[in-house]
Amino acid sequence: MTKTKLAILIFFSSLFLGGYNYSPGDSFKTAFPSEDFLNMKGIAVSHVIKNSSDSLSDNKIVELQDENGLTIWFGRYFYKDICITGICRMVKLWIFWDGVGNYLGIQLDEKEPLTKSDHTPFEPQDYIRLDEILGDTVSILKELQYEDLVIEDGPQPNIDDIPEKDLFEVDGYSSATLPSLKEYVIKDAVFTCYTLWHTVYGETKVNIDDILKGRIDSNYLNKLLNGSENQKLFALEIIRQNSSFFFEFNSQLLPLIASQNKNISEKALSVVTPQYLSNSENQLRFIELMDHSLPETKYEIIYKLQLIDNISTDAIILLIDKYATGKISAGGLNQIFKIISKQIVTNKNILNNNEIESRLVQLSKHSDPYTANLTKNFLKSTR
Amino acid sequence: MRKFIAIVLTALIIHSVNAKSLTSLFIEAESFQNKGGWVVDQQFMDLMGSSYLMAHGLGTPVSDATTTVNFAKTGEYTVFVRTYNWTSPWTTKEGPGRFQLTVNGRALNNKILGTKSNTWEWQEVGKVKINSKTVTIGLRDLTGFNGRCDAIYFTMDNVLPPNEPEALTAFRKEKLGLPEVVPNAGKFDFVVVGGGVAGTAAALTAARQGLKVALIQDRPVLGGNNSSEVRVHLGGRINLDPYPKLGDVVNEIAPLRGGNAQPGDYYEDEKKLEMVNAENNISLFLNFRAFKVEKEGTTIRTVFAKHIETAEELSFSAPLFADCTGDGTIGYLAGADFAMGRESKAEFNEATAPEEADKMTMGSSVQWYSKEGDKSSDFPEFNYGIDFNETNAQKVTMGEWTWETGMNFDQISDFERVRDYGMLVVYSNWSYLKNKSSFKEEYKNKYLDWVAYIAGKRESRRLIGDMVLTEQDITDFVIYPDASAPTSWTIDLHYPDPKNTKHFPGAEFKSIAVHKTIHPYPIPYRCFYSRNVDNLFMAGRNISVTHVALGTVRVMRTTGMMGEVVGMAASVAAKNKTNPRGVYQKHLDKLQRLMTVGAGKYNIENIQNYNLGGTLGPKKINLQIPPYDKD
Repeated sequence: MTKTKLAILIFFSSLFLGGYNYSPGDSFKTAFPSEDFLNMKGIAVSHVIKNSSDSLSDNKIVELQDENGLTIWFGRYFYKDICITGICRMVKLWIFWDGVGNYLGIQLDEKEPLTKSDHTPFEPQDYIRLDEILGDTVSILKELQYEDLVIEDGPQPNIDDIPEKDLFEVDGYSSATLPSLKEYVIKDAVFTCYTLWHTVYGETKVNIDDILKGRIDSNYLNKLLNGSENQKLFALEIIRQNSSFFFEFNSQLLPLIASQNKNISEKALSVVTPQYLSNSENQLRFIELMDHSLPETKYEIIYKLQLIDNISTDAIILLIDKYATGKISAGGLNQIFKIISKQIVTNKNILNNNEIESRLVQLSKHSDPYTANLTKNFLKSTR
Repeated sequence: MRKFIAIVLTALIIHSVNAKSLTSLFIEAESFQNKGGWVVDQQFMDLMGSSYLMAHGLGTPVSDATTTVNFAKTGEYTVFVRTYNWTSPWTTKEGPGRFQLTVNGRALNNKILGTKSNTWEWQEVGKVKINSKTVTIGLRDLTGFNGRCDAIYFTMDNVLPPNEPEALTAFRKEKLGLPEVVPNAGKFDFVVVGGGVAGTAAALTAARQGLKVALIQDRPVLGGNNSSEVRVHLGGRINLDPYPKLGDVVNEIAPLRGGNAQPGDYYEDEKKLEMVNAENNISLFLNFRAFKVEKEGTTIRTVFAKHIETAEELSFSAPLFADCTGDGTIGYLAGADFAMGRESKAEFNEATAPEEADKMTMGSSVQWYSKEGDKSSDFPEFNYGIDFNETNAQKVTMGEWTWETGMNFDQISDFERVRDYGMLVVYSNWSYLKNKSSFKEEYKNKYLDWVAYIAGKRESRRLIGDMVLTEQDITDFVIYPDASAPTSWTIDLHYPDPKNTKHFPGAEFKSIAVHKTIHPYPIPYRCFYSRNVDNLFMAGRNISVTHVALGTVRVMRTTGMMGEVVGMAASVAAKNKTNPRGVYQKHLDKLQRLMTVGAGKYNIENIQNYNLGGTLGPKKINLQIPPYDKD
């Protein structure tokens, strides 16, 4: 793959993207979900796909970058044959991916809308559905072969007429292709859905992933961590897979654990390593994140600590205090005791620590009988 | 919780000399003082008369169970043990559950037990000379493959104890010296039988409304299918319209983490227990199994329960009872109308029902998992009638809900066989993987870490209420004035997996699920009480629904909310001196007020995000509950 960087800030639509006979212009207005990708501002970079298996479509991936060098989108112009029983029709459109390789949208010439098998143009709601289907990374279309597709013009059996045994579901994928597909795809456009889905997740995506992989370094990760939600998630996944980055970036990523965005919070938690948590200072820092975390994140923090062999007495004290002050609800007390139990195995004296002992004794006299009983029984079980 | 101080028949009494017989000694195996690695299995008490001890060692012999007994006389005794070969339904070979009886640590006559007979029976071990009045009796497991022992009988008279069920029951009672008049457990407003999620929620809710509650559970832990003994995670959604506070109690007892067949601590047994212990109004009777009821007309007056280890019996009298046993045991014993199996399409006009009614039910799961060890480990050859080979072996490392057996067997009267088949296929398949498969190298270091012996049952009796919920009530979204706890799971019915049928026709152990997605639907309260036993509520999988409708209501967040409604209804009934039907007929507005307020106490955030199940979302109309006209 080669790339050419056009280092000028431009309106992308004013560019002539060489290599094919189409100059994106005003006619490319129909975009989904709603962005006019081709008129976005940025720096255009093109990447040539070598040995493309798609000889009809343009052999370049175009990338639009912002001023920091982060990708706004990747796009490719496609010519696609949609064939039904040997009769094909050509579809021309742009497909876009975001800066981490997720499907972003399509854009096509308003004079050449997508059409169905009965030659009627797609309705607005069809485009919305198509956009949802193309964004579905685990689509039912993934495992299907072209031959599996149903000719929709034929009679459709009623789902209730299909024997129960033929309707079974295994691992979320139904073998009852026909009725499931009917409900899933756009009516009279199953081949279009199929072809475009496999285009979105085909060789172009593989090339985009390779482009992104080639950029991974500290500088790039730093930019991603300050980028959009998807870019943060992408960066976190890279760090999760390559823990050597964790220590370099932990001050940036730990606050992400307390994010109110569940996806980011979960992903940020997944990168925290046991080595990091084996340090007592880090344990305290980690527990303090609870104060501003989502409720489910608080418990994930506790579960992480349950896996650690050496939790400091200060960390245990802090956890008990979080419970006593209502930062952790009644549902969490049992989980805190599991942490203490694990530590007792290697350090029997932990309960002789005055500060821990006095706090537990206080909890055992708590006005709420659940807290009091659970603590009493815990203390009894440890003696 | 009020501390349960009942008249405890201690092991000492049980093992002491029977005053009526100086020449014999009867010992219930489950009452052994030291159970070693043996487990108490009470699941089939109603079938074979008692709970028993079982050597559940996953192929590794468990440590000896022992107990010290006192003989009235020294001398020569003939010894009998009640046992059987649990693999006999599938093979004529001697069974794998081999064990020995020891006397003062020595195996009696080197006799191998557990290998013979296709039914529970007394088997002679031989004669033994008892030289000292105080003797230690033991059970020595030889294989770790579920040898089982119900009881041991020493006799100088050489008389075989009875095998016939009624005579054996009388024999046990006499030999154990149990009192003729069963002691009363206390004074209660409401007795809840069954401490699964439904029963626990019912007890907590009623107690918080001020009722004195007895909660009877036949295991040492609460939670039923959601306990660490069965390990099925909660399913469905809580806090939905029209009563979004329903589910607050479920949320309090719910494990924070999901997953089937996960490590035991995922299921947080202690949380459920301490939530119950925290209620002064609940008296908790763990390890007691209800076995008899007394009625006056169509009203239950007393339920009798037996301790699964000591055989101690207690009676529970109250104006109101809830059957949360899953099997509808209390209703059945009280003569309540019930259904079991699949209704025909004609009976309720259900689209999913079969043309002809039949006895098929969903099955029971014996879940299991393996772990990767640091070094290679052996597993004994295990082949008792179900052959595994390269084409039919399950190349897996765990089995969760899809390992499901007994759909074409009676989930009550054949239940021991159903559970045993679940274990048999786990061991047989694992043995093939470890010893014979072409990929055995991949399994070299793997070992079985957990196999359930308490089977997770999905379906058996459904007690019939004033209303039977049907498929089209749910799919047509027919809302009744007594709309209450919402069901949100798909109509999820299980069938034998056709791929498994191909290899094991008629002996399937894997299942598939067929789903029909629904809008969350509030179940009518009339499904929660018996139509012909006046004071009996139901919550759990034994409520009044068709087989098809059971497919959605049976998951445990939903059954827990049923428990909450029943707990509230019991308080309305108690305060208004009426019965469950009276609540519907005259006091539904009061129940509706309680359902609006909810019974949560701890303000725990709802982070029940696992296994919610797909729904069609809230019905896009205002959920209007039809007006309630008590007249």
